[in-house]
Amino acid sequence: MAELFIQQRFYIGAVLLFTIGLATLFLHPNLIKKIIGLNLMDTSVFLFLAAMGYIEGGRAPIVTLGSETPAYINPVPGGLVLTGIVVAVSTTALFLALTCRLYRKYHSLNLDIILMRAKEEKEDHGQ
Amino acid sequence: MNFIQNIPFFSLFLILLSAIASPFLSQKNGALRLAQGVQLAVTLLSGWLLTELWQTGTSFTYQMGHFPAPWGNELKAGPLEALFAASFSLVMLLSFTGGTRDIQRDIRPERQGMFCLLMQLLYAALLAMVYTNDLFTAYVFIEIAAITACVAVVAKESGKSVVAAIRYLVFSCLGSGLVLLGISILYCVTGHLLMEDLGEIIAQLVSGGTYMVPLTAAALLMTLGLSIKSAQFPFHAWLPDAHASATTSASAILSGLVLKGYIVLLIKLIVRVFGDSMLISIYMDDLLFLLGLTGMLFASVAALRQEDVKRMVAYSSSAQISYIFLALGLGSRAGTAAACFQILAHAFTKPMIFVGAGALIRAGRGGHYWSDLRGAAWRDPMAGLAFTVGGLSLCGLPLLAGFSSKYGLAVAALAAEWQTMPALFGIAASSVLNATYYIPAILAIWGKRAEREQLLHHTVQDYQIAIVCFLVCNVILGMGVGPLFEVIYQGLELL
Repeated sequence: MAELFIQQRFYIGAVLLFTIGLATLFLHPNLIKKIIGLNLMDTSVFLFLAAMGYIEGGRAPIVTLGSETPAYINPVPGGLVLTGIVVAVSTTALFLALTCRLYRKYHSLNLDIILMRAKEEKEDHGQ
Repeated sequence: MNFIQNIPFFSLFLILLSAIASPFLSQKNGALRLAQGVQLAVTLLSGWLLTELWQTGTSFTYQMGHFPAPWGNELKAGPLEALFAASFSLVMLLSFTGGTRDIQRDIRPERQGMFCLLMQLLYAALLAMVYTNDLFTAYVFIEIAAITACVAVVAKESGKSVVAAIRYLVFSCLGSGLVLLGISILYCVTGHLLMEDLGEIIAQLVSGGTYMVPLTAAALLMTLGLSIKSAQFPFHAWLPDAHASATTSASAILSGLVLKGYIVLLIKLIVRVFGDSMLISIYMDDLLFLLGLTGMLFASVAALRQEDVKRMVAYSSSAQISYIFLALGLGSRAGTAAACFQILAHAFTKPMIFVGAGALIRAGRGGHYWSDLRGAAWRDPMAGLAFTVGGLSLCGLPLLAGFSSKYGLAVAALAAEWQTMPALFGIAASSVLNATYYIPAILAIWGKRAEREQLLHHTVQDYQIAIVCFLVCNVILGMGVGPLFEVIYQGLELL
């Protein structure tokens, strides 16, 4: 059992990180912490992908003349992780931009308070 | 034939090019006109592609950069993809034309170029999801669609829309995270990302009975992720605010097209990658069926309680999406075909309702509530007609698109096993619910005519042309059921 855990440590880590990220994203009212949760979630998927492409004792897949290596690691997951990072950076940037805008308008980072103030504003407007 | 094969890539390239160019057009409305021109061109090209592929009964794969299969990236087009591309482009064009005046009112003039950039990127992402044959490309475009759709919600720059966008973004990120995890697991098991290769290996694994747990997990994660993004019932919390607080064109496109893009991808996954028998063996079809059935009823009940016209229409979108899931859950070819038809029917009906509602809100002094809209249709009869016909179509009035899709769904349900009675009950109950909120709404907008109420315009406006086109398309979808189902069946064979 313990051996299995050690063998699968990357995947177990990825699942743990994903759960922590997901819980933070949905349960925490603070917007900045939500963003951190989102990033944790993305990172866990990257860990999962990178661990999948890794081969024990393998080298980066660059062919050099005259050297013989036993194994190369799989480059495709690496490419996927790079693309994923670009996507994660852009969603984070958008999320941060929206947070700035909300903070300037409602002077709070707590989503519950923001929702309350937005509702009050709507009622005032309706009168 | 050879030139035809370039159309999918050429359309995407053209749209992306116009997206990059639009912020630099300083002329008044220049960016809007460019976007509309490109949308028209792509509609015509896709229509041409559709007729050619339908007549020859073929499909083809297009290798990006001529790299062969295991390394390269592929697009695949058959009659069904061409049909979706042509209809999505037409709806895009009509929603853009129909909402031009609201864009000019809601969005600052110096930002219009940026708004067109976003909409064109969103459009490119939708077409890419329709055409791509590669799972990872699909993921990238899912994310592009999510980001651009969020910004399209914020484009109106009110506090409410920013809050709605944040909520939308959180759900979108969760959805795409789940999809990415599913794709990773599939790649881990099979070592492929192209859909056909994946399909072959999965068929081998399923017949051997190995790796069933990871395959089930991947199928579940991807279905869950895509249903969160398409606002299927228990995951629809983000939808009403996001769709109601955007500007008219954005609401129409988000409701009519963006939700469908993910479902087209889901259909491709079901047909091309997993295969019906594998999904039935893990009870995925029953899950989709139950999600659809509950969604049809609950979302309609939620729509009943809305005071705000745009929120009601948004909830009704969630109910209509549930029809598609119900049809997919039947697990038969007829069910999938009914789902495709419902995608088209809703894509042409909902934007028409949004364009009509936008014009009515304008005519009713800018209020979103029923009390503001009483009698608004007399001031703008064309918008009133659009709202009325759209509402009746969703209630299932014969000769309109909604009726044909319900008919297709009922026919598919009759051939199913235990699903027949629940499905027929669901269709009947949700049609009645649709009628209970659309008919009072229609009566309200055509309500008592106030004294000295004047028609707003005496000249033909461009949104009125869009509404006429929507009406014509709706009637065509309602009456041309036979040929359309023929194309869809042929397309599903070749998918």
